[in-house]
Amino acid sequence: MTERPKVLIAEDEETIVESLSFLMEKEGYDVSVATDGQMAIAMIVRDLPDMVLLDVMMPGCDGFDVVRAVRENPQTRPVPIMMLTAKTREVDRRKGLELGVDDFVTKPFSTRDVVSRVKAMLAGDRN
Amino acid sequence: MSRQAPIGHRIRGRRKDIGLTQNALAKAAGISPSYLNLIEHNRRAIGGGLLLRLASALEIQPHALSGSEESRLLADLGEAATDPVFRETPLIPREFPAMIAAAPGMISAFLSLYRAYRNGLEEIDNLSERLSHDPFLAEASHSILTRITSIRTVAEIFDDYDDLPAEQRARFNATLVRESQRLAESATEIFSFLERGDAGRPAASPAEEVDDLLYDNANYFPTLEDRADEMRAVIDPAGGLFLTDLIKHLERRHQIRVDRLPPEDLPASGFDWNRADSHLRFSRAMPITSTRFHAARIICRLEGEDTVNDILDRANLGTDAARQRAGEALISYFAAALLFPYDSFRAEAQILRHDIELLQQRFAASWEQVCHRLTTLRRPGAEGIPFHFMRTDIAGNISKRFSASGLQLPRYSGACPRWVVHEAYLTPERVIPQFVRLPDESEYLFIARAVRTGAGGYRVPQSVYSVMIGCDTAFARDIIYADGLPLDTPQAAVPVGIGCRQCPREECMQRAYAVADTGHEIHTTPK
Repeated sequence: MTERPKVLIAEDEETIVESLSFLMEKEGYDVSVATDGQMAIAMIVRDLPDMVLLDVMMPGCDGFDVVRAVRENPQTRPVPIMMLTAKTREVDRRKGLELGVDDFVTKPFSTRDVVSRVKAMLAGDRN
Repeated sequence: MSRQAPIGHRIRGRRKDIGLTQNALAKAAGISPSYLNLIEHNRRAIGGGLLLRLASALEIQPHALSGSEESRLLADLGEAATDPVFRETPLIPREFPAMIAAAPGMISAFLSLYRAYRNGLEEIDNLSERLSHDPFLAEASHSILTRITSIRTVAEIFDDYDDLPAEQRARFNATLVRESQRLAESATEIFSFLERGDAGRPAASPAEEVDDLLYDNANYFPTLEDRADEMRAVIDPAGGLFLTDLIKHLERRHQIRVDRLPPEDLPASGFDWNRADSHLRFSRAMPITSTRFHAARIICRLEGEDTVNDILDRANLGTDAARQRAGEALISYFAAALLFPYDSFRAEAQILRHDIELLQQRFAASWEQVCHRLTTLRRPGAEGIPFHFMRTDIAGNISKRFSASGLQLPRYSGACPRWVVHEAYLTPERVIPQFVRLPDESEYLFIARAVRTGAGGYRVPQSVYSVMIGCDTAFARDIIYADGLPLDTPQAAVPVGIGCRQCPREECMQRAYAVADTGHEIHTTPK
């Protein structure tokens, strides 16, 4: 029995969490939710998810701090991270890529887009 | 008085208006017709008795021939000419006197336009700054994007999944409705925020309009002086107007309760006047010169508002902000006229040879109050020395300016860093005189002093200002601060300019900006 891929959604906006969780579950993924940066780091360390959807603007430490923490820890380093950002500034994109983010989606994103990208990344990972 | 203000056209124009020949006017003024001709063509400057006789023969006020307006136009034009916007089409300083003589109205209009352009640029800068850094906008944008994201995701879900359980569908529906409403609110907030920036922009800033009002009236307002005299006779016939007299007057005549309180019970300004409650409160820590002045201002506001409003109505100010600011400036003038009567102040100034600290003691005034009053002694026929006045903060921002001395104070930039008004900060509270020479070879005596205001103890921040007055060295004999200065040795003068941008002194080590690229020439006195 193949394990269902684990997806962590780190996002503090309830409505977006609701929609994304629904969609990830529809795709057959096991969804967990973190509502701030510290919680996200803790859950990543604990569960080693197959995919993290990470919002940049969260209370406490922001998305970039989470990426830094995840990449610095040898245990969590390989976890794929997709950043959800409202900032379209080039400097944030570059900063994210430098820190080791695997993909970017800018709000207001299309869920179809997010889902297909997540599927692609998870499939690639499997191989 | 500037050496090259072209007022010849005024004399000629007025002479023709009243139908006088050159011969007739020359005779009336006691000069030869050929000399008058030179004057009319701006080849000779006039002053003193000749100016008075010409004015009298032409039946105009001497002030009209003083060239002050032409000097201002000349200076403002000089400053404008250094602006990079003219790089492709430079203005030629050598031609300015002739341009002003030929078409002063056009030059004024040009300067109005330039001023509007400068204010427009500043407004654009402010708006861009606001847009990129405004925290409200950042937050509102984020909010809008989040709402749209929510709405879009739910819409797509509804589109892709027909078989949602009823409960789930209902939840998503509710989200849709709620987020749409929040989006509407956020969007409306942002639009009204942005719309606020559209209100009609005035052509000149309020500060500039107030500056103009003072210049147009030569910083002398006879109706305020007269009204002040009337009021003073009632408040204290002996004329001393001590603080106790003022307070008693407020209490008896206006039923205002006056209290002195510890500073922590009052706002930072040190006083609070509740007009509705007729309650005036002062900080005990406030120096007496300030308390007295504030009390005088309130009395002037209560008893002289009409006189002030008359002036404001005639002044034709463009905005409410300008009117309010001008009103404040006039009330301050009014209070000074009340506390420091024109005739006795002028007389004492002469007797004490303009020793400002002695005048402070004699009239219970602050340094700034005395300096300011000295610049208002401009009653025609009974003038004091024509001074200029400037107040800056320690960053060099000019907060008050007026000049009757012939020196043009900068409008759009900081003042020359060599001016003693800046160096005064190095030795606060000390009076520092300075003998200076400008590029056009005019010489002035500057007197500056850096002062602290605000008293409320160790933790309350104080403000520091530097106040400078000055006059043409022609008047140095009457000024105690000139004693001992080597005024007869031109080389002893500090070579200064007005501001770095328009100053031709390329070799100056204190230069803040490069010389403007307009082929500027050093102005020389006409021979």
